[in-house]
Amino acid sequence: MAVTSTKSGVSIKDDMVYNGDLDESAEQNMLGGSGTVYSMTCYFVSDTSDEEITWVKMADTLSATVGTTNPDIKFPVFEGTFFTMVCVDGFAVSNGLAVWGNPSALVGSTAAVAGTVKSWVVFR
Amino acid sequence: MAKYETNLSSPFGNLEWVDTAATTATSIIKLLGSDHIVSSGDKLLCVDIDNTNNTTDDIFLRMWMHTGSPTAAVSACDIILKCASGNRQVFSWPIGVPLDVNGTGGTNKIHYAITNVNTATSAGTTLTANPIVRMLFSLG
Repeated sequence: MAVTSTKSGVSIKDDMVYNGDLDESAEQNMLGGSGTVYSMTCYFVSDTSDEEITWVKMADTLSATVGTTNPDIKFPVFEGTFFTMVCVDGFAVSNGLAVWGNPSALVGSTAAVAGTVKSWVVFR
Repeated sequence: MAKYETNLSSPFGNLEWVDTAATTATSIIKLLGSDHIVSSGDKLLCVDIDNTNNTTDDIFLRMWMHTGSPTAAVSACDIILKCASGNRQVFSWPIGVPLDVNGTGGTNKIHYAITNVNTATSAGTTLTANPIVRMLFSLG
């Protein structure tokens, strides 16, 4: 069957920011100011198949201090998997978005991510 | 606190909604036990936090996946989700978050609390109005 492509006429206004190494050094002001996050996709590249976990931490701040800043959103991602969190109606940040990760759920952790976590944030 | 649960059968497997009508800041709610069918190995698919009738408190849903007796002010939670005052926030994970996050789960280790702070050393104060939180789990 032939495939027909038709433009929907809907303007796509979302932007995406890619971070090739989400780690224990916070990426500050990822949206360039305020914005609304619609999804966060992470790919925890498998390294030694030891089933490690990285807790992704996000905060509404221009500048986060790893080990001190309390995250507004936190969730685990698993080695060797793509993992997406969808914010259905958008998660608004008024200051800026800082993102970092640790192999520990503890706020005070400054431990290094074991391996590489790539991430994509879709925002408007 | 009132809790309502609905067990749904779907082509994608069994789903369970956990619906909580009210909570206080320091309440730790266990999601395993005789009145729940959620268990280690199930997955969290969606969280709906309705904070629209609370125009004072930003709230934070904290979830523990493997801690026997968590304390909101001390125990590190595996998931934290913010919902601003007067807002409703829906989060979903299409492939689901395994409840046994670090492989040491089992009975009586899945809990949640709703607090008005996100600090690791405080459970906050009693909420000025009760949020409604709904959680959708995929079973088995």
